Amino acid sequence: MGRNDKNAEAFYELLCNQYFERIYSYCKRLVKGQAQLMDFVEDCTQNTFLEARKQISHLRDHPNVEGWLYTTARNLINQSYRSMYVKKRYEVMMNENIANNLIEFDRELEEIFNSSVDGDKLCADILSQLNANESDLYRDYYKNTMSVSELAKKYDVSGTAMTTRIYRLKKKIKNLVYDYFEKN
Amino acid sequence: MEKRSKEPISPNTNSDKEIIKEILSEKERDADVKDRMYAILYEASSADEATMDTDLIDECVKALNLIEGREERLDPEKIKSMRHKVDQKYKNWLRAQRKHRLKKLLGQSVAGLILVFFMSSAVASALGYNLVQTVVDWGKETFHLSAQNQPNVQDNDHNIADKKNYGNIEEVLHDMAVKPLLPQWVPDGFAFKYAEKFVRLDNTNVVLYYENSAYKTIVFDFEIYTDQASADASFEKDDNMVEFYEKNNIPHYIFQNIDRVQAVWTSSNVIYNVSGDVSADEMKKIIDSMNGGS
Repeated sequence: MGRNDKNAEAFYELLCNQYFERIYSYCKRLVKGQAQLMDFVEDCTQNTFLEARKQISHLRDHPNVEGWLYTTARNLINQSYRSMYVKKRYEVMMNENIANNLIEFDRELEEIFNSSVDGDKLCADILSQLNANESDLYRDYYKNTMSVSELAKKYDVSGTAMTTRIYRLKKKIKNLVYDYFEKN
Repeated sequence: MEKRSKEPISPNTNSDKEIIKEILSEKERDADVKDRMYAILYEASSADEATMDTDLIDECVKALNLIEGREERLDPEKIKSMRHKVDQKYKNWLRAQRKHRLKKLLGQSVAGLILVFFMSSAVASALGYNLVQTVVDWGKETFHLSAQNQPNVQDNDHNIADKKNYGNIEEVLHDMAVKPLLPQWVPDGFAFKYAEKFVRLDNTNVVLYYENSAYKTIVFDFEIYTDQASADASFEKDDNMVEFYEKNNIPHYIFQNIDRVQAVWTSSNVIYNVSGDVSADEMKKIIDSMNGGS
């Protein structure tokens, strides 16, 4: 195997290690996580990396390899979708009643939290379960009150990506509070 | 440091408890957030691959997984098995490629089973365009096309090619003084895949690869010569008849090589060689498109 081939193989390996799971999750989201389409998600993920492997020598010079992978995955999903004609058939919408019940549940959770005696211990327990990146964001956003634009600059992502990340942090904290009260 | 315009936490209650209380007080229906996230995800996904905000896509995917309670990681064994399938598919693809090359080699080795007879004077004048002398040679083994301006005195050993691959056609032709005619039409399903350029001392070889989803290919092989150089090319064929197809007063020779149709002609210091998994009629349409339509 020539040196170029070895480098290409190493680059392909790197792509797989870094993006395989992400592309799989992306494909899964594009079909809205529908269980009956998981085979199809697997196929599209595999074919995305098959294309990457075929074109690996060009991809090494690509300005946004990750973008190429997402675009290829999206195209494969769209192509398969078109051929299956299932988009409308399998569209799953959340039932209105279920959604309203979840809001009720949120209200209850807030009341339980407010009435909890040892709030500090509870908070420490919840916050200790955040990972390093989430803890940093919690500190920057809530404690240091940094703006979204400042955070976007600091974390080198777009404002929309930052807002989504903050939403994710809040959602995780809510889930942790729920888990805490469910256990205790 | 710039502060957020809307302070969510009052300065004297900046405790974790107050923060979490505030987070819990924010009531938003998951279904609404989900719809919004999907809208953002689809919009971000429709961007051009070079400028795509992949961080945003990643955030949306994670947020949606979180809302749906599906944060679980993909099992390493599952990844391993999926990657194994990719390896298998890749090996099959390589095998198909090798088979294709082998067919081509085989074709070359049995080239000239049937001879192509042309009136040499007619062919020379037809191919002569801006070259002083063009000769079509035929013998039992080959169909040989030679276009020569003056003797090429360069040692063949020094005529080493510098090969590069390209992702688009504009890039491969960028710095070339002579631009070959390009196809404006290819049969349905075929799309440009990649290009190669081999730069030699006296000529440049540009090869464009088109492929369809069934891995059928069309290869455009352009050999571009300098004015001072000699052009020399041999083509393989099987025992089917050679079809003479004239377009813009230039004779195009269409013949079959194993299961592929091939067309060769020369014009303005370029030897054109197009071969593909197409019919002769489709090949004519390709030739028409290269010559400015029908």
